[in-house]
Amino acid sequence: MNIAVVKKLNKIYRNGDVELYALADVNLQVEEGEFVAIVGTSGSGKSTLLNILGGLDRPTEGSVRVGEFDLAEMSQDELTIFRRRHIGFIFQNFNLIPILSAYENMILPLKLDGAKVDQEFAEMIIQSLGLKEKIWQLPNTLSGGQQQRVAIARALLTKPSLILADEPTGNLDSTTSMEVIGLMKVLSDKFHQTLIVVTHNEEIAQLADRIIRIEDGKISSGERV
Amino acid sequence: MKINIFSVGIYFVSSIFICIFVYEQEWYKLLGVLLLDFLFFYHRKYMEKIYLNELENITDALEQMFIKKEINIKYENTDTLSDKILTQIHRINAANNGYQRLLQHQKDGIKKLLAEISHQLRTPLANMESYLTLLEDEIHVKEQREYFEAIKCSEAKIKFLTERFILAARMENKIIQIHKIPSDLKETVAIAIFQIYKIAEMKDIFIEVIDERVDKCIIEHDANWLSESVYNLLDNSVKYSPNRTCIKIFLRTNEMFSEICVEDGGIGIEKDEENKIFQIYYRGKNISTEEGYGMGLYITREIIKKHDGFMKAKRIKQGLSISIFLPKTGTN
Repeated sequence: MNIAVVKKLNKIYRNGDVELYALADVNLQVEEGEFVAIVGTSGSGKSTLLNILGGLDRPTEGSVRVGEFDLAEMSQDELTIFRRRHIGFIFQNFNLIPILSAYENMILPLKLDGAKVDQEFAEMIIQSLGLKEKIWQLPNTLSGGQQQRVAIARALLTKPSLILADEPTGNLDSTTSMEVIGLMKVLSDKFHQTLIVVTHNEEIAQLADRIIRIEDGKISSGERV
Repeated sequence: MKINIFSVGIYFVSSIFICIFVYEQEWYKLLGVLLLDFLFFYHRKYMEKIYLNELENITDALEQMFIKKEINIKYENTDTLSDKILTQIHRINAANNGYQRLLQHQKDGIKKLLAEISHQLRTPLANMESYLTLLEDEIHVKEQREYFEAIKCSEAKIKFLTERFILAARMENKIIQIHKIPSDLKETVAIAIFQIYKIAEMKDIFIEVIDERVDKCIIEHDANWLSESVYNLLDNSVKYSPNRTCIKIFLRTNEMFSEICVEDGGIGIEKDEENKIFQIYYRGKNISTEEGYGMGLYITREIIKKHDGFMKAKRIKQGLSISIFLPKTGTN
């Protein structure tokens, strides 16, 4: 079953009379439980595509369907709730809140949604990510890899159906990058989640089930037929 | 939002009443209205709380169902809507579980049948093969020789398919069952090297182990299956490497994972084949003569998956480097 279907997607930035196509006629299908890497040079539109899939940005034309929802037709408020319940985000600069401990950072999205913390599940995730001794530390006392693992825990705890990661290893060295992506792969396998990772690192991308290449806003390879 | 508008309305109306009563200076009536007002207010709060609790119970039950746990939210046999919904959730869950068990049962049955059939096929095939070799010496007529070759060719094909079938059945039949015991990875790698040593020696291939670990870490793993997967990697390396080359095995530890890396100087793989070689039945583009089923790396990756680890292939200058990553902490 497809979890995300993108059809004839255009994203156009207008500057006066000049039209700039960030994405041009993108068609994409992502199957449930798949691990997809989106690869391209900077400025190729890969982050824009990811943001549109996660409801952070809106398409100019075309339809974007994630699960049951048509993102193009949703209001801003609906999109906010949609993101909170269905999408887990992982960013390059971790986006952890510096005055909250690692654990408080992890459960923040749950608290925002007024949901209870499933202790058993939380402990399992923390254990899998090897963060057991670190959960009461503040983010700035953790290494880059550890901070990113906290961010991964935060993304996983809401049990999202789709996890979107934008250059998750951009700030990490190559060995740690490999480990973080490997960990994400292992965990998404374990909890049957779909994982879409944007990266320009080919070595990381090859851990994915499928590699989608984007050039100048167009998918050049990796479309499933 | 509706409740807010509603309560604002109530306060508006009651304050008008209060104004009227104050104007008429009938204080006892005012007290009565105030009392009613309070009662009404607290009753509403109380009801809201109850509804909220009930709704939370329902979402908790759904949540539990969602992550495939047994539902342990209790419900009473009372005539309320929330208890009715909870009962229905329990029933859906029970029906769903039953259906899944049935499907699993049927699936297991089919798998078992497949495995049995493919095993049974082996004996007649072995018979055919031996009689074919006997027959080979008896044939002198040219036409008969042609027919004979055709049969022999078909037999080889059937045999190939059966072997593939058996391997697939073995994979599907949950034969890989991991019993993790904490032990040193080096010993497990050593088992694999002992197994491949003879074959490597025949091709004059030298196997070198380089231990780069900073800490002697003991890792929870199944020595049998893990040595099998390392053996698979070594087997590939020996098979696809020219004579008189060297295979290097690196043992490394990183922040979270332990790595076993096998590097060879063989034919390697093409660009963009890195994640394809782990697919079932996939065979590298560079392979020309060597026989194989395209199962080895697939099985290896399945074994590593069961260890909560992952694998990575990398093209190097001459040959291929494949790494196994195993988590240092047990992830039960």
